[in-house]
Amino acid sequence: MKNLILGLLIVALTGCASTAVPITQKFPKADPVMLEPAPVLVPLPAGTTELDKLIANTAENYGLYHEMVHRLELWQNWYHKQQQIFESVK
Amino acid sequence: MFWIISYLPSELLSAIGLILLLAGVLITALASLIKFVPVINMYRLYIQILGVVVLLSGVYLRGVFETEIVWRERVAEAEAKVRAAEKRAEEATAQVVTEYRDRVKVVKQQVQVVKKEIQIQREVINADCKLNPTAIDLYNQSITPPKDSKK
Repeated sequence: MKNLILGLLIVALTGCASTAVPITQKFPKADPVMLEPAPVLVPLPAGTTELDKLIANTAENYGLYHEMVHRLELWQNWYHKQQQIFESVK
Repeated sequence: MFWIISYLPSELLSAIGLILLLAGVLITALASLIKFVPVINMYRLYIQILGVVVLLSGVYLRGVFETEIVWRERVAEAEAKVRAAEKRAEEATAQVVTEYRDRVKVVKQQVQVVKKEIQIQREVINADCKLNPTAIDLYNQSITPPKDSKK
């Protein structure tokens, strides 16, 4: 009888052997706007003599710089949010 | 052989395990009572062996099936969590992109305002200054990225 109980326990424990759950989280997709290449700064046309053209061109290029600053912030925000979401699943 | 289990519904698995277990207990108990029946007493050993085998199978399969059911619940739970996280990830992407678009819109508006103001103040700006080609060349050099900066 003892052998029977021992045998039953061993068999039951063998049947209960578990395995890890094979579920993976998909890598989040970035929006196409995030993957656009950085704009090239606009040069001044040769032969320009007016100062206002230079200032206008500078303003335009500063605008492009500020767009890139926001693009960098976009990536940083995106990364932190995705990291938080990823870690919340564990 | 156990891959078949994954295709069976959880309720059926639970029922099969329970039936086998009860059958094993019943046959084993029956084998003990058989010694009082003279006609079939000679088959007692075989019935006892059969009872033990069925009981062992029942216990084993009950363990397997219960594990399978627990496993399925865990998989469903994990899948639900992952799906929810993926949805939240998409929403987060949409949110940060919307914020970015709004900011870029403001930047572009600001550039237009400044350019308009430059146009208005054109005479004043150009009054005492004339650019020479060297200044333009140097300016353009400063905004051109170095050749080896892009790889």
